[in-house]
Amino acid sequence: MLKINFSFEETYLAISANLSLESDKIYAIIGPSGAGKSTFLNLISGFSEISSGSISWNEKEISDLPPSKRNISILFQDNNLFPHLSVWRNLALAVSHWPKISNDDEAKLHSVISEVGIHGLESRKPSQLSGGQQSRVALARVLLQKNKILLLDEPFAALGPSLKDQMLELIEKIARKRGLLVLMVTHDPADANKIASQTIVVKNNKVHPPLNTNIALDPINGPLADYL
Amino acid sequence: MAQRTFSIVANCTLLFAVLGPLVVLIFHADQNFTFTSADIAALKFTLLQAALSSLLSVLLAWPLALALSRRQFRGRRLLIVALSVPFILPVIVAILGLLSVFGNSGLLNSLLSFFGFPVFSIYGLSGVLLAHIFFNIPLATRAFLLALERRPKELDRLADGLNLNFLIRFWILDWPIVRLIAPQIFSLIFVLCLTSFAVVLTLGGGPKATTLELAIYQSFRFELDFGRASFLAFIQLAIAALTCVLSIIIFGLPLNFNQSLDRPIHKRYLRLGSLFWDFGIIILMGLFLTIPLISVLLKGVQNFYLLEITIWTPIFNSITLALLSALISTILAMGFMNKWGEVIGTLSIAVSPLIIGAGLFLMIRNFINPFEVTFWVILTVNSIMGLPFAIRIMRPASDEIITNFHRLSIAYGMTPFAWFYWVYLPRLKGALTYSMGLVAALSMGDLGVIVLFGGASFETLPLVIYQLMSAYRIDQAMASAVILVLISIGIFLIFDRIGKTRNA
Repeated sequence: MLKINFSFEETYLAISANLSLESDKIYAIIGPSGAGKSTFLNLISGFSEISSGSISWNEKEISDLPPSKRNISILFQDNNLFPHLSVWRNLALAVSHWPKISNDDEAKLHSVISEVGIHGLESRKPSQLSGGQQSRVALARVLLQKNKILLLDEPFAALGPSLKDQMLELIEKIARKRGLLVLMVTHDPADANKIASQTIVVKNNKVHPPLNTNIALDPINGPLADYL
Repeated sequence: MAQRTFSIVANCTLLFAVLGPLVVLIFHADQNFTFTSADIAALKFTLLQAALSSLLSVLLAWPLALALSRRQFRGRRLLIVALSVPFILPVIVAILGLLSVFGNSGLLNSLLSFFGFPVFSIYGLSGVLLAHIFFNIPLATRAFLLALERRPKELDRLADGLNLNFLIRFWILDWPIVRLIAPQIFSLIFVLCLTSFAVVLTLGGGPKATTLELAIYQSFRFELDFGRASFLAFIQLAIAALTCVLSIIIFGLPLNFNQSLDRPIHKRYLRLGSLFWDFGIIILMGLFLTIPLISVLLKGVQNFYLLEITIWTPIFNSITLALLSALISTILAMGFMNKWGEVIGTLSIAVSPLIIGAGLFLMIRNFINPFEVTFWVILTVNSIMGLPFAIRIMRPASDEIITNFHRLSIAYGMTPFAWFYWVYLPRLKGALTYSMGLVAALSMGDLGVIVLFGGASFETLPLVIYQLMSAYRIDQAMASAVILVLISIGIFLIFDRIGKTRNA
């Protein structure tokens, strides 16, 4: 259970949130541009600091921990891979900082590589991959970190519709298998409908508690009627 | 926060190495100093030559930049690359080149006397100006060109469409750029010329053409009047620092001129008159900037047989100094990757290497004979001298790495060491090697403090060339100059090459 109850203020943005999220569900986050969707993810993951309140994961306070200690992985909009390092090194760095990695770690890498379907691309640099392949490598990195919460800050926005759907399906499959809590920012109601049963609306300086996706996205009576 | 600790160490090292000598100088300054007429003359000449050099450089660079920005021709790229050569060219080599064209028995005077005109003397104000504009026209041209290429191309098309005449065109399109860039370049060149040493040492001198820098050197080296030297150094420092500070306050920090210039230019329809004008400028300036070099290289190669075996030691000394100071400057610069570093980098142009050298001399002479540690003194001064360049080159790259990848490295949970080894260093590699190559080349060609300290015990290649020149062994000097150019540019290119190889 991820319990979020905070307020955050800076010069151009103020948001507050009070909600509880279940450990193995996929939530979509949707709302007008500039409402603070990305900021919300940054606050949970620790890249920004909340002004007051608390964030707790399974009854343990995490808001004062550094990002790497929060049991949270995040995929950004861009720069999810180091362009000068091979796919293999990009993944190896998630398990060890030493140039040579142990046999155990190597086995972990191989298993994740087949899980996301990037076999044979290990020695390539990110620039030698297609957009879809880059997304898969980034996802593999996140999976190696073995965190229970996965935040997606529109990492697939640059992909074409069919590639994006493939990635969403892959996320859904992996999240179910590993029992992950996924929070996915999106602009597209179709993404939410596809994999998220619950949707969090961010609007008017507030992160609202999750609603059933079909209610949240109701184009006539839903909270986002004027946005959609 | 290993990075922060390192930053503090680097700052302290620099403060100690720069402020230490300066404080010592101030303490040595003669309390009862009175200006002699020679000092007044030196002060006047310093300001006059610096003002004229910067004015001429800016005035001549503008039409060249404009011509290069609107003409497409074969060799344009090469010419633009060539504009950065004077920057790493050893001063003494350029002086030899200018002598071989404009000197008493040079090309120009042979022509003049053949046609019965009076000969041109390169010694004195004219020679100093000639050398200063030779070095600074390329610098100013690159700055103007960069600004011109950044201007939206639509503006040019609009002006073409409206069929504006060239005066209105200049007023509307070009003047805003000139007004922004020219004062910045003017003040930069002004400060560079204020503290210029090798040029004035070789082409100036005498009561009519002595600068403060030269007067400091002379009272230090020949009159051993440290009080007087320190006082003059203090005055020079005050003028240079004032210029720097005023220019930062009025115009802001100088733009970064170290960017690549190879944007294609759009096709334009220009009048025939401006075509002749543009190519006239390009050819004239191209000749002015290349003939001296070609001439010194040709004469030098012909005189290779004059080279003596003793030249190996100074070559070895110079290369060692160049590589070590490149390493030190670049490592220190990594501690200055912030706004503060940029300010220090700009201000340190005001402190001439000679002054730091003189201060170091006074600082250590109570403990050790400075002439026994010449190598270390020069190494210190050269490393400090290279620092602002290293900072300028690496700062944009460093900022970019942090903006793009710091967040990701946190998401990976990297330690500061892992970040440095896997991300920061490999991504900084290009800027790092470029910086090392540049500082090494600058240090290789440096003829400053070494003249103050150098002697029989420790010589560098530029010092040997200067001594040959002073002894009127010009042919042998030119042969050695060829070696110096080859090594300087060679080192620069090798580093450039290392930076461009990708670790596969």
